[in-house]
Amino acid sequence: MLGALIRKNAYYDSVTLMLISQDLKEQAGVQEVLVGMGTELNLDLVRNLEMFSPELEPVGPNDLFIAAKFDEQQTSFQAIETAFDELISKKSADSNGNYQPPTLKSALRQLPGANLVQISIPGQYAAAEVEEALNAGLHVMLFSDNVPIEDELRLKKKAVEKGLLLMGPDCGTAIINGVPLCFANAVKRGKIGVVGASGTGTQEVTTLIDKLGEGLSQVIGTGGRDLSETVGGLMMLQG
Amino acid sequence: MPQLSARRISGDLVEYLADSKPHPARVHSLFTRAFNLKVADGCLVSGTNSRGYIAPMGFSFQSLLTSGWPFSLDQELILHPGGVCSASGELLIDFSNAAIWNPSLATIFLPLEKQERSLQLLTRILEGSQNGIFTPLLPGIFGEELPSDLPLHAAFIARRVFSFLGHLANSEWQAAALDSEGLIGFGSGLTPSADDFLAAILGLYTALPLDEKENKAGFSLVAERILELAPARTSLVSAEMLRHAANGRLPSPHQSLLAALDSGSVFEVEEAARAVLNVGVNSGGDFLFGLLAGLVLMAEPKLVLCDQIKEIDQC
Repeated sequence: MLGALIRKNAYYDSVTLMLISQDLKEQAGVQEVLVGMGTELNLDLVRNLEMFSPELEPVGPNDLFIAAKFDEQQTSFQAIETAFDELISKKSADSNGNYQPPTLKSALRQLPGANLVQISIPGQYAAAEVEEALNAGLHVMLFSDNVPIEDELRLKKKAVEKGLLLMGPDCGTAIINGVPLCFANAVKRGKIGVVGASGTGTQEVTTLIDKLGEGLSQVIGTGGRDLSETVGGLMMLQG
Repeated sequence: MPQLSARRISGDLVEYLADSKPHPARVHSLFTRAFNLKVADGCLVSGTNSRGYIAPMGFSFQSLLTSGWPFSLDQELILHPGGVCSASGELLIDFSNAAIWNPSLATIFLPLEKQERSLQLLTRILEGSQNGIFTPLLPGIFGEELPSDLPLHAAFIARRVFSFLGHLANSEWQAAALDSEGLIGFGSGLTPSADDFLAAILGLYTALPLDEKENKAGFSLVAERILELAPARTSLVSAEMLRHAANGRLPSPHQSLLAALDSGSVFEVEEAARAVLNVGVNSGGDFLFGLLAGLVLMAEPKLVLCDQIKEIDQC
């Protein structure tokens, strides 16, 4: 079954459009959804996919269209339209109207050039997020504690293989490219790099360096268990 | 509602407003970090407050706003050299402290053969990015085989993209102009992907010193055709972007990338390319793809792929 709707002269930013398109595709019974501006070539694609329905006839290049193919036993176009309206009104989450990405994937879509992620969730759930981040080629600062040491070892080995940093678990101090992460002191930039397994110890050393007139290039925390026999200082060496 | 103060204003907007007469406008589109005002004569003026981004015929703000925009969709406003006023004359956005930003591109003088490292870097950045409808077509611009499992949009547009690039590489301007008809307005997003790709090509050809008069005249045929078709074939926001690009005006991150390429510094190129990737969901990636394709075909025209087109046809 096919369905389509048009929103005349409606402009939504690309993040909203993409997330809505993905969310609609995940609705039960929805087989394919195209959301876009109603340009001639976008309509060619709709025709190509045999999703063109008469409702799309009046669409113009400044209009937003949604074309859907769905199983009418499981859903209706009205349900898709309602879901669309709900998603549109939900997408601006915080009080300033700034979109708050709910997952790492959606955060990366908003900031595709990012190369470091800071993770702070209950330890028992952290490994999966770290793994996803490493697979996406991101350095990780893992603030969470209570991460099983087997997970730490496995993930640090993966990070080393990929040439990435996994700072933590239980890492609360780092300064990367002059940007302090979690708890770090305001210190000058300079030529001395510090890799530390103790956050407070690292803070002490970096402030002393600053006090003595030199600055810091990078400050990397490894997490307290990195120097244990089990983990073998994988991040200390990587840093 | 507090009055806003613009931090930067583009030189072309200053020039446009210099006649001192009031320009009636209405709020055309509103986003979290940007808005567009449509002036009565059809021009689009953009306000932005995102990471220093400023567009041609636009202005930007110092910092993120927490109180929202001081107007609503379709509201009537008046633009004048001092700022943006409500219909009743209340000043809503003050231009008086704004620094002037020049949206025009400088010419890239660094010879293409000296940009090898920059091209490699741009390729790597784009390969590692999930940004861009056209990005899966990347192997094709280096004469390599395209993946057999291209995503929907990329598979649909691949033949047209490589036909267009092939005709540009062979200086077949009339044919490239015809190809552009099959690209304008295609893709998802507010500025459809193919328009971002074309904007990169237009900007690049404007910025490169095309020595031969024939090439300049030839490419202008392509640019003219794109500008002739865009108003009817794509959204107003995108048609305006193409019009500016054809006149050598690009938004600040894109302009910085072209300047970085001219500097020959891979560090600057990397920083600027990542800033471009952060524009929109796919826009940045599709612009980078266009830029890379344009640079490759100018440096190594033989790489561009008539064979690729045949392969796609066979699929």
